[in-house]
Amino acid sequence: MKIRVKFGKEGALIYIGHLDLMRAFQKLFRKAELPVAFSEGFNPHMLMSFAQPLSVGMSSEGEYLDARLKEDIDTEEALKKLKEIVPADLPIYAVKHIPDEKKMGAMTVLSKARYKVFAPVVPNDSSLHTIAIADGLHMESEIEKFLGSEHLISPKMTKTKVEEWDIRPLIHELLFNDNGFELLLSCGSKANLKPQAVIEAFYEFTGMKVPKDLHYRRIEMYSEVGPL
Amino acid sequence: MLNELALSPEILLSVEKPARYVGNEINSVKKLKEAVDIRFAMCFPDVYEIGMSHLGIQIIYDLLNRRDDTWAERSYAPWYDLDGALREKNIPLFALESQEPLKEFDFVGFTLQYELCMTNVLQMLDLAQIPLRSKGRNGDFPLVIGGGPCVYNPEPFADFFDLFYLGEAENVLDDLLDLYKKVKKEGFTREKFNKEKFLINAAKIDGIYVPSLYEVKYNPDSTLRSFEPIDKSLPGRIKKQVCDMSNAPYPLKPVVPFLRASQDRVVLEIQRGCIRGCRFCQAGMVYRPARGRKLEDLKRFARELLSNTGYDEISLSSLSSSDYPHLRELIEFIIGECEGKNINISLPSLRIDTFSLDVMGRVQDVKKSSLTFAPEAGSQRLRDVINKGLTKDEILNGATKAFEGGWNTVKLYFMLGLPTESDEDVVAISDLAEEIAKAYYAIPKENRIGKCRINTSTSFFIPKPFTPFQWARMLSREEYVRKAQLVKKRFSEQLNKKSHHYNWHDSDMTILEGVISRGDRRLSDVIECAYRKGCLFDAWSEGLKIDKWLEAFEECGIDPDFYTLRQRKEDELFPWDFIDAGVTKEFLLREWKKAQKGEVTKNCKEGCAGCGAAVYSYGICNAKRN
Repeated sequence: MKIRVKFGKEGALIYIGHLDLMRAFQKLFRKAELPVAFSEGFNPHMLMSFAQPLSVGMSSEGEYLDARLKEDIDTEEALKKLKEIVPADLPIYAVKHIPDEKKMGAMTVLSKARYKVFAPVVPNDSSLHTIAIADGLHMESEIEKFLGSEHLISPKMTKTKVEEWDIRPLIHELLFNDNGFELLLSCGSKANLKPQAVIEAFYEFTGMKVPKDLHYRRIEMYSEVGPL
Repeated sequence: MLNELALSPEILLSVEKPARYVGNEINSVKKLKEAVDIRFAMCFPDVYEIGMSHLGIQIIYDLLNRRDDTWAERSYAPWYDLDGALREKNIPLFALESQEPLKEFDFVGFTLQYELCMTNVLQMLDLAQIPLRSKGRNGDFPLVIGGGPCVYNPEPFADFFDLFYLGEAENVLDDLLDLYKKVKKEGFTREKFNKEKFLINAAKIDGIYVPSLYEVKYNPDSTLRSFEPIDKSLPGRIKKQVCDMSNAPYPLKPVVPFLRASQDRVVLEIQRGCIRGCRFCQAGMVYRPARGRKLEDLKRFARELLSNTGYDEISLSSLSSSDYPHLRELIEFIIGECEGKNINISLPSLRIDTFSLDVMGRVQDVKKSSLTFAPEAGSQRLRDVINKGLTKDEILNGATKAFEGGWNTVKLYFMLGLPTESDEDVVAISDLAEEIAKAYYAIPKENRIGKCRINTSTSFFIPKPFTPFQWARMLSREEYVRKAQLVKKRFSEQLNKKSHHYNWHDSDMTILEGVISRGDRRLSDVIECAYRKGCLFDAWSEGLKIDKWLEAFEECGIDPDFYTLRQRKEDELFPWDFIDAGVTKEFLLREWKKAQKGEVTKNCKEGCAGCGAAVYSYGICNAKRN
């Protein structure tokens, strides 16, 4: 038996790293008395996995984690219990059953993610109050030119060196509306493109500087058939 | 979601572990500042992960937040990276919950857990844009109050604090806050707050010490001549506060950090104080009398703490868990409670015997865990001097039983430089470790798992106030290092040398701690001078800059050797003698003399040694003895 939990990360909690978030969920699951299964061996740990880690500093309203259960639960009941105990900045949106097979796991089926990029009026405010960042740019035509490129070569940091790669095939949508960018990018184990790389490449393409204090927010994650 | 943080994303993303500075942890307390009269910032002068592991802050945080009129928040020492950013951008240090500057608070309280945290206290005040010295702060600034074990000799820190709280917070913290509220209301606004009036009245509350109201005079030889209140209406002695543990509150919803703290588990304090009377141990003296919590309370606490935190480990906390009368029943209860839930139970400070090995075998993974013995001295003679009631037979029996039970790693803790110590006592450390190794290899080969590993650590002995060794001389750096080398050489000559691993504590740190431990008011200048020279995080071996400290001593005209290398006369007036810590100076002197003759003293359970703590009439002091 497996469940998938959809959650968000806001406010102060965007500064909590991935491993610490995982430990927080282990504690929350204990508090909520969810019967999460444990691994065997000397160091048993809860069997749970996140669809995709979120970078520190990014907010989200579309995060997912899968957990294997020892026994079945009522997902509505679990959602209610979790909502009661989580901090406000870690909202829980949904709990649903998912198939047991590994190939159906969030990490495996994930293929794309949607992001918004904007400049918050108040620092650390992840809601969509934005200040204008398009000054002096005709965004629509610039984006059209940018996306019209056959290749978009961008630097990629590996553990040992900086490599170049073509990010154009991984950009599925790039729009500008409401003073912010909206992006749909490849995401997951097969191909993963961070929105920061696209924004940097775009501003370089236009010959402008990247605006200061941009906030990156993940909106949703998708498999080939729809939201996770 | 709007959530104003004190630091911009730019700063937070530029520092290591930004989670240290954003608060919002599970069980952290938020109140409306308009709805409270008193804002209290509990500060821990070390990094977040260390401070979050400290039980005392959780206790005080809980005590204060139980009051509707008070909002207690927390603050920790910023690491070097944020320290730099705050200075550069002129951002005042803030408390985690409200993210508001400490300088806007009514109280800024520091827990002083170790002497070498003092430069970090100054760092936090400085970053908070609060003047470092009490006399530089008028009523516009928060009152700076100190508590914790180091205030059993608060004198080296006297100039920086407005008040010190001596003893356990459960007792008179409320009285102090009530007084503050009254005086604050009289002034209507904090700007008109009459600090002087408040301090004079606060000084009359039991357990509160206001250093600026006491005057110290010195003899030509630099020792203390007198220590008197400036006004006859003030108490001449300050009495340590001790609470009744049988009905003391306990924080059942402790703040659970997101970052992995060094104590990343439920901590259940089962008792305070210790019956053992080891002569080097300050905690064993100043937390007297030994008092346990009620078994029924502890069972309830354990269950609630686990469910309120979601931790996967629970640890029993006390100075000597084996002496808790209902230990067996408590542990059986917790084992039952944790059954099938993948919750670990950790049991530090247990004496190694059949019972504890049985329990540990059931709750821990034997293959991974190691057993710890703290004989503290290598020879029986020296163990008698320090009144460590542990014999070689007990150690070897315990170790043998442990080896038979499947353990093969043992940690041993010793001290070097104890009073009366000879080179024979020093090499006996290595010989005792070797006997433990031999006990392992005496077990038939088919019953052991490979080689054993004996990890021996030595620290250097530091005489502490309110211990029988408060009169003792410390050794010089050279002498310490020579002794450590002697132990090291002896290990290299042992038959089972490959099973031994030996390390020793930093001697510079020891000497600095020794100076401050038994220091007087004149050290405030040295501490500030060292801080101005860039000393910070002195308790971190990579942080300590001993040459800067030596320069500071030099510039302030203070000879550190005066505090360390001098054996005190029996009738010397000590800087901390104005504190009534329960144990009397007569008792300590009696113990000091017995120590020199190698005579042991019974523990509190076997017989009362007349230490003086019986005036509190709690716990063991009321127990019927065999």
